[in-house]
Amino acid sequence: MFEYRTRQRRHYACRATLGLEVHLFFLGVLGAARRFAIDKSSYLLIELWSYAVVMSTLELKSLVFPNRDIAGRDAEVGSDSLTDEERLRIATAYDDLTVPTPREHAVFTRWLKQKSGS
Amino acid sequence: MDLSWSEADHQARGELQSFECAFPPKVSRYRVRPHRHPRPWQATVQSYVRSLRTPYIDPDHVLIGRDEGKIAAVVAYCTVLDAVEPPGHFVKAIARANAYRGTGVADSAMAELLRRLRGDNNGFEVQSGVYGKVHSLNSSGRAYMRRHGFEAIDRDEDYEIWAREL
Repeated sequence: MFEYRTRQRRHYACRATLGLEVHLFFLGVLGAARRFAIDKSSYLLIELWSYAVVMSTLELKSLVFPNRDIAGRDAEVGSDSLTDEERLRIATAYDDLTVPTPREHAVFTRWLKQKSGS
Repeated sequence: MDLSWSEADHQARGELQSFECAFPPKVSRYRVRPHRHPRPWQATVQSYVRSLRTPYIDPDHVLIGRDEGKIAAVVAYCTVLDAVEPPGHFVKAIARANAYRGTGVADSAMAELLRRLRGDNNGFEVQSGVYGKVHSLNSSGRAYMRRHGFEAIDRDEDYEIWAREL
């Protein structure tokens, strides 16, 4: 489950960066219009701009290759054209399968105590 | 069937990401209707195995059984520690590659798991046990657990809890 959440967080980070990129685009246009000379603030702007370009490329990649995550691996949870409901169901199934709930562990320990006592 | 067992390392990640234990192994990528796997527990375990980012450190373990270099089975388990209660080993998944259906690989995987758990028991002197979950519709899975000495101790919505002493 941890891996899935990490992947999901990374995905949302990309989405957020896309929004940031649009914001920076308008800032860049504004900056370029005001002055063409490279000074400190423009340099910072260019740096941020290139960062945004890289992140948006990753975002485009995830749109073109929806079955792959950023590292190019098969993202099983996000693959096979799953609907949001299906993704949620699988994510829940991950939880059900790989994490024992406190209640389940309590049931097990109670059973184990009974067994070892008998 | 004799497999060579080891803890999964970083090199195994690539192989695990293409591991196939669900049958049918994969649905077509573009479908109008939402994907419904006929055996959802198999698809879930396959997704889980593919998402593993090995290596793991104690108390999480991922064992890989290889036959002539190829991954034939994967076992993931962890030790659940409690300050008061006796410790328990939770089996997250036991998966057998599709290419090894009907070869006894799954039995070998369970035997290896029990052998390791009995062997180290993480230094605990007290009685401990092992438990895991089986989907309620997975009749072969239930028979598999029964064959290895497990018994059903509880039932949730979709999953039954099966346990045995070590």
